[in-house]
Amino acid sequence: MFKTNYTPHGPAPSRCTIRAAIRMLVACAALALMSLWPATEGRAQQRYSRSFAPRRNVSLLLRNRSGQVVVEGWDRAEIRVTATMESPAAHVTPTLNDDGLTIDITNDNRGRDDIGDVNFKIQVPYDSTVDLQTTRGDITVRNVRGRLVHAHIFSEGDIELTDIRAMTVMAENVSGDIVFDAELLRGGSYELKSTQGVINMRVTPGSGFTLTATAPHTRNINLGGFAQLGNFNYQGGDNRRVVGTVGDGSAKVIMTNLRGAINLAPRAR
Amino acid sequence: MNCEKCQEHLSDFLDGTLTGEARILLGRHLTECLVCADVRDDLGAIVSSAQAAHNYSYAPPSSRALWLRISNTIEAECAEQQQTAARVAALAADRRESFLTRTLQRRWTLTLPQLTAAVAALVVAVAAVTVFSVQSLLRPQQTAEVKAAISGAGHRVSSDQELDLLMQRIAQRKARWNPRMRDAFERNIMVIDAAVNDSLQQLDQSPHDEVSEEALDAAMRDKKELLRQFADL
Repeated sequence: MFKTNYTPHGPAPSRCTIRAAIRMLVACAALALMSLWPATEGRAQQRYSRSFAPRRNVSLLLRNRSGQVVVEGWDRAEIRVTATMESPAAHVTPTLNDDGLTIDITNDNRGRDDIGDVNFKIQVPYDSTVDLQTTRGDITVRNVRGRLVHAHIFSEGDIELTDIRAMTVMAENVSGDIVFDAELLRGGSYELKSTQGVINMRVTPGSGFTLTATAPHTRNINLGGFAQLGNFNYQGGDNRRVVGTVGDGSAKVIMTNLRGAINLAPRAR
Repeated sequence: MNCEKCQEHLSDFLDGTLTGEARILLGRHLTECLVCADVRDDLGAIVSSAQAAHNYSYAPPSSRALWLRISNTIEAECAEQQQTAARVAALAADRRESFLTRTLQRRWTLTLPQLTAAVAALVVAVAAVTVFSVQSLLRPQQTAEVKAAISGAGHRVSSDQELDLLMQRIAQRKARWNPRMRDAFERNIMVIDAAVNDSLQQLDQSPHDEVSEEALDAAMRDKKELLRQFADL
């Protein structure tokens, strides 16, 4: 117990005793803070994870409000959805039906003005059709070989489409870069649109396609190695639009960047 | 008794139902007034005839025979009217034919100035008809262009109204978004507006520039999508 010095008026606490008491109080406060720390962390982020086995159509429709979206193809016949939700956490209620899996964060949280980002990692069978829309945030799609890949960011965010093998690919955003590093299929349609950012398209060197690339503000259209492989014409004056054909011209490529640059290059083998 | 009173009671007088002083007075008036006496005679004759015919039995008319008579009468009247109309038409045709015949058979003798004036009038008439025909042909195209312009303007107006409504909705709700969302909206609407201005400036210099028109359309489409998306939050 505490040591006490006795005075004519009774016992008086010594300096050592006061210091010990302060130390104990500080230690208790630190313990209390440490005990609260995990709870705070737990409120800041919530995690959602669930697997779905699509019956017929393997398609994914995601409408997110804000946050990153990563979709990857894998060799399983199921869709696994993992979502990390920042506080205030959004409601995530995927629905599986004959049309595929639908995750509509916008609709599920309509009227809730302030919800945190929802970051998705979704694994889908390789042959899935993927339709992704978000108001804000990056979209990445890898190793998907379905009929359609659509990535639309209504405001800002980067789009990265790599190792895609689909007949129809559409990617559009307002601000942010778009990277398409994938294969062009015969008769396929590939459209990349941005208002401000850089569009980088890297395709297999032997691909045959018709190109319409428009960059009206920057006039910066770089055809890279394809400049020598195809016949190109500059339209609209001052190189604002390039139209041309490479190989058999079977695929159709349209790139439009209203205030940014367009780069076309062969894929690295 | 006066005449009016007399004629009022005359029927009773003839039937014999009028008696007393009234009958005496009426009889006296009839001797004095020739008009009333004539009326009495006529009325008496009618009454006598009616009484004589009272016992005559009329054979009820056959309805079929009656209808046949009516029908024949109507047909006869119609045939008469048709004949009259045919006669009038034949007469009018005869008049026209005679006018044409007269006009064509007339021998025209014109002096040189008259002939020149006639040719000039003919040339002017042909030119007027030609001008009128060309204008008629051009008018549908102009109308189509005007309609297209009007519909385009209408579309722009409706589009502008939609943008205004979306902007109003966003302005009401923007304060409740989280700061990251608010900043994203502000940045990107500025980017799109800059793209719109680029295209408009280019179109000011080259009004029919295809690339700028497409760029303007794309930017406006992006703007509408952005506003719809944020208004829907």
